[in-house]
Amino acid sequence: MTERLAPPITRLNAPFWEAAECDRLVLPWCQTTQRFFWPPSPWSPFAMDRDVVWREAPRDGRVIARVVFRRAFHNGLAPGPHGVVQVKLDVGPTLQAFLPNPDAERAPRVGHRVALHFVALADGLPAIPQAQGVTP
Amino acid sequence: MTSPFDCTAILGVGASSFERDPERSVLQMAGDALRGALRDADLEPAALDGLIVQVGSPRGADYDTVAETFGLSPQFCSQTWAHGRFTATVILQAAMAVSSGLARRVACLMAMKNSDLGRLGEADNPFHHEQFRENGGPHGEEGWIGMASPVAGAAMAFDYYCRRYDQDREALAAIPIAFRAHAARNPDAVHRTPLNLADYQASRAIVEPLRLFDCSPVGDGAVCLIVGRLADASAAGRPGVVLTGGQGLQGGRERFIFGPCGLGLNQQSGERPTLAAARAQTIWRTAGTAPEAIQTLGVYDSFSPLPIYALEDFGFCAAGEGLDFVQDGRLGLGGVLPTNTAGGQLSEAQLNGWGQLRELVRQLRGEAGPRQVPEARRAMWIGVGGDALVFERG
Repeated sequence: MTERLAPPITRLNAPFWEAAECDRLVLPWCQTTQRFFWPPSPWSPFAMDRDVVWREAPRDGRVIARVVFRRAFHNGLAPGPHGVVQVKLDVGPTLQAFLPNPDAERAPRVGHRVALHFVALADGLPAIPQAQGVTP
Repeated sequence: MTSPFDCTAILGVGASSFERDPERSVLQMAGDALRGALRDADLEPAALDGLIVQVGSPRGADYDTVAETFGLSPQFCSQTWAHGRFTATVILQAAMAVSSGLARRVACLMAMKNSDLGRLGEADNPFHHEQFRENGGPHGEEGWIGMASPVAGAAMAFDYYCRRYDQDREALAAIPIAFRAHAARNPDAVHRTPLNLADYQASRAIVEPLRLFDCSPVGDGAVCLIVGRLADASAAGRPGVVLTGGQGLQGGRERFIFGPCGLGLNQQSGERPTLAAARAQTIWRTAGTAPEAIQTLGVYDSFSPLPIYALEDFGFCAAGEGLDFVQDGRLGLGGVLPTNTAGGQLSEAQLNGWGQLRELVRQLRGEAGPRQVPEARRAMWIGVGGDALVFERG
């Protein structure tokens, strides 16, 4: 099986990945309850209706959990290490994000304020969410 | 309504050996387990009229292959996906089939082989595609950001848990050390070498904060339990192992497979059930008992933090107290709650918890030898998705 470090992009989630290419964050928004939600769904998980639109969302949040891969599972990320963090966005949803150079002194750790930016790991791959530290 | 509880029982149990052997067919293992369970129940193959398979292809054999290969003619067949988490569901489904009259004796089979597959999460493993599942993999995987393999989800939840409850991750050592000590008394266990705190602390990181000895190595093997009527179990002339309570697998935004209910990870609210709510769940109502009355516990332990969450989710202790609860030998033989007495997935074999179910049957029959919990009359299984079973000696 060949390795592909690309997300499955469909009509359901395409707006997220299209915005990511421009380093913008958009999230599904439930118009009935006036809330962002994640992951993408054609139905609001809060209202069980289809009154859902995509809206630009503030990209700021806080790291709530962090893991570090000491050995990469993917050739494309070898030799590592690399990290993955969960970022609780100020607007509600929690997203996972790639964390390059997790051992660096400036790398975000749990409790740190971060912003989600979108960067491609290699040419030909979509831009993926990365957690970047912000000065409080 | 016809309740499956108090009228269905485990009629027989059998298992293959658990060594990793890429040359062995998964059907050989399945046959060993099936034949062992039939002999244990003193039944002929023709007596089976139901078959539920827990792990099918690509690492196991599907129900149709199993029935054809072993000359069975089941009239009630079912199968769950090729992961763990469905152990209690399979037994409950079998018990419901029996209590409703759809079948009289149901073989519940988990057979799988991993030794011929690549490392879980890497490109040469057939489950590689799961980390690219739409909206994420079944254990929090998102391959496109390097969030590969189930271990990463377990590590993420444990990191969050330790921060939320201000716990020292080193306290986790108590779990793999306790289960390894049990495995030393179990000749079937794959990992019997003693494990001490220094070994644990020196083991290499896999995905921090989890280390090598926090992870169960995916295994080879098969276990079969035959579920039938309590009356048929009693006729076999040995203590029946009666199913007295159960609770199904749960889903939703408060659930993450490798974390406790409502922890605060992913889209969880962060609101954990109270101790009173945990102790008022379906499992306790159906079984008519309480955590203090459980004499031995089997719990899903593909990764060592999972038993902590099980103890909290089911009201053995309050949310945030699980890591304290497992200290001081409480889960060991002679402790207040002997748990995974055959070694669990961490040390006996990673067979999705079916090794633990087999051990609970042995415990309730008084057949656990050097691991026997004295006077064991009530045992519990807790899965990894809010699912559970209670058995009693008939």
